[in-house]
Amino acid sequence: MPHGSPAPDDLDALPWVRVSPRLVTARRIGLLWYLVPLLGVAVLALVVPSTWWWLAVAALLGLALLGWVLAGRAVRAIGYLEREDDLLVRRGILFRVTVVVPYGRLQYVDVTAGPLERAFGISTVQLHTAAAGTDAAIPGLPPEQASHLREALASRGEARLAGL
Amino acid sequence: MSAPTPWRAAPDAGGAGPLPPGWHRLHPASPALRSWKLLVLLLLFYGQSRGRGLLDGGGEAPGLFELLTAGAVLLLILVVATAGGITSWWFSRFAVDDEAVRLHTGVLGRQQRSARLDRVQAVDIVRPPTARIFGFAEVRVEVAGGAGSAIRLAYLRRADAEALQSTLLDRAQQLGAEVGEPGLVGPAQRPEEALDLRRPAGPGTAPSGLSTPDHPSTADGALTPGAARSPGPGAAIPGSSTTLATPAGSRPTGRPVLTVPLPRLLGSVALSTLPPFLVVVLVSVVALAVTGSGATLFGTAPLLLGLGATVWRDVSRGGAWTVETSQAGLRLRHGLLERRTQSIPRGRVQAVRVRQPVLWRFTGWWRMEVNVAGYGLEDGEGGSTRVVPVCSRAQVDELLALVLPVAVDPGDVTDGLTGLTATLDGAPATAGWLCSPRRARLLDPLGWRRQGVLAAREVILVRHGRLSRRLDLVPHGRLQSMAVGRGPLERRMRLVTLVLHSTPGPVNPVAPHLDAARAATFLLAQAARTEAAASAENAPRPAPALPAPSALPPPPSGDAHRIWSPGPSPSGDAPPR
Repeated sequence: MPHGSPAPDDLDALPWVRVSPRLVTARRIGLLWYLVPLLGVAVLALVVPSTWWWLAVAALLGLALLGWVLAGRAVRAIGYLEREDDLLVRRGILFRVTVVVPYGRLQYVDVTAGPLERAFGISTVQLHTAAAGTDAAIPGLPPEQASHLREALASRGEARLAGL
Repeated sequence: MSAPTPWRAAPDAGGAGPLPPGWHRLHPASPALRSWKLLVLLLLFYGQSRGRGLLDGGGEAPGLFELLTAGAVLLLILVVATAGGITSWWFSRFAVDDEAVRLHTGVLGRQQRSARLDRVQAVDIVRPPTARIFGFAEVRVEVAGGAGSAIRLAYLRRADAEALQSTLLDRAQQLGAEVGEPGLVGPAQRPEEALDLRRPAGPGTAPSGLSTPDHPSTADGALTPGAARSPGPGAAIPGSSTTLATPAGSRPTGRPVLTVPLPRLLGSVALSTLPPFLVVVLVSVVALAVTGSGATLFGTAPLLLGLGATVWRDVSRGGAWTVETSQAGLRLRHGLLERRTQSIPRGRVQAVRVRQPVLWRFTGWWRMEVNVAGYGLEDGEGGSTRVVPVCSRAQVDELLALVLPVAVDPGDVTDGLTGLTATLDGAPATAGWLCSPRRARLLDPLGWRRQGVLAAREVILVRHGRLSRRLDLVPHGRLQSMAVGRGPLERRMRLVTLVLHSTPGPVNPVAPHLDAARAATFLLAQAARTEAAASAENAPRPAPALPAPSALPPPPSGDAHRIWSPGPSPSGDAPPR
C-alpha cells in the first residue's frame, strides 16, 4: 500500500487474513478447563447442600457454553494484515481492538505452540516492541504460515531497524 | 598495556591492595556510610522494647548486668556487620574503560556486572543525607534493563563522582554517534556528535583524567580544541564548564534553565493536594454524620496518611530543583535531603507529558514528565521521570524545545505546533485537530471538546481533560505502536479510542472517543509517518560517512575486555595480558 494512496477509513473493510479454523476446535477443547472448578463445586454441592452451590455450577456451565458458542465468532474476528510498512492485528467481538505495529519498531517476535495448539498444528505469533503496551498476538497460525510471517517480520524489521 | 581508564579516581579512593591497573575500589568510608543505619535501628529496637517494658510493667530501670550484656551484644553485632561491610568493600571493585563500566561484587557468591557505554541510558548521582554530610555520592549507571539493572557505585568522593558522571556521559554519547544508532541519539544533536567520529588511537593513550580520545582539533570544527577537555579529574565538574562546545553557538552547555523557588513548590504541592484532601475530609464528615460513630474515621485515616506521604515525597524530592542544559540534554539537580543529580539525554526521551492539575490553572503552573527507557515508572528506584515539578507557561515552551529529541519551536506557527499554544491555553478544537465529535458528549460530558490528537510536523500531540489539562507529545519516530479499541457502546456511536504505545513511563497517551472513520484514517496515516520518521533517522547521514558497526576497527591490542578476565579468579590476581 503506497504512502500516497488515501488511507481507508473503515478498518473492518481491509482485506484481513483470517487464522486457521482449527483454532475454534482447540479453543473449545480448552474450555474443558472449566470442568475442574465445575467438578469441584459440584462435589461441594453434593456434600454441603445449598442452592448457592448449584447456582455457581449453573454459572460456570453458562460461561463454558457461552465460550463454546462464541468461539467461532471470536476466531473469525482475529485477523492480521501485512502492509508495506506495518502489520495490523485485530481481535475481539464485543471489545474490538486493532493494533498497528510498524516493522521498524519490532524488537523480537515469539512463535509459541502449547500442547493443545501443537496437537492441532497451529501456533501463536507474538510481536514485541519496546513498549509494554503493545499487545499484538496472532493465534491459530498453521506452522508454515507462522514461520513465513516470522521470517517476513524479521527481515522487514531488520531492513528498517531503528533502535529504540 | 597502558591504563585504559579515561577516568582516574583520586588517590584516596583506591585504598591499598593489589588491584589490577584500571580497577578501583569504592571509597573506604563506604561500609561505614552504608551500615550506620543498622546501628541506629538496633539501638531504637532495644530502646523501644525496654521502654515499653518500663511503661507496661513499671519494671525497674535496667541493671548494670543487663546494660553490659546489651552493650556486648550490640558490640558483637556491630563488629560482625563492620567486618562484613569491610570485606564486601574489599571485594568490590569497578573499572571504567572505553567500552563499559564494570562492577565486581561479592565475597562468596560473586557478581560481575558490566554496562556497555553505548547502551547507557542515564548516569545519575545520588547523595543521601549522611553521604551528603561527609561529602560522598553514589553514581548510578542506568541501562534499559528494567528495575534493579543499574550499576550502583556507592560511595565515591563527590568530586570524583561528578567527574566520573561527566566522563561516562561524554563517552556514551560519542559511542552512540560512532555506531550511528539513530533511535538512541536524536537528530537534533547529530551535528555535534557526528563530527566526533575518531575512536581513540588506543585506549588510554591519553595521559590521564577525563580526556578519552585525543581529539583532532581541526577536523571536527565543532570542538574547541584545548578548551574542549578539562585536563584532569575533578576539573570538569558539571555545571562549571562542560566539555564540548555546541555547533553554531546555538546552545551553550551548562546554562541554567530554571530553578524552582521553594514557595512555588510548596504552593504547587498544596494546590494539587487540596482537591483530594477536601474529598477525603468530605467523605469523613459524611460518614461521621451518617453513622454517628467516630470509628468510621479509621477508614479515612489511611487515606490522609497516604496523602501526607505524597506531600512529603513531593516536597523532599522536588526541593531545590534546578534544570540546566548539558551537552547530552538536560541535567537536573533536586532533593531537599537526598540530593540527586541526573541527566536526561534528549536522544533518550521517548515521550513528554505536560500537565496542569485543576487548581494550578489559577496560578498558571505546569508540570513536565518524560518517558526515558530505563527509568520506567514514576519515581521508583531509578531516577525521577519529572523534568520539573512545577514551572510557568513560558518555561514549558523553553523546556519542550530542550527536551524533545526533535527540533521543535513551540512558538513557530508553521510547524503545526500552534496547536500546542492553543492546547495549553485551552482553546477548543482548531484546524488539524482530530477531536471527539459532538455525539461523544454523552460519554464525555466535560472533556469531549478538549480531547483529541494532532499530527504536527515532528510530533504527535494528544490532549486531554477539561478541568485539569494534559498534553502528551510523542515524536513520530519514537512511537512504538498504536491501537484503536471499540467497546459495544462506542461501536454503536461510531466512536473509537486511540491508544499510543510508548516505552514504560508516566506518559501513556490515550485519545478517547474519536470519530471511527477519521480515527482509522489517522491510524494508518500515522503508521506511515512513524515508519518514515524512523527510517529517516536510520538513513545514513551525509558526510562524514559513518562506518557500519561491523566495519569498526577492532579494539587495539590492549583490548578493554581483557583488562579483567571474568571468571572465578581470586581477587588479587594480576590480569591476563
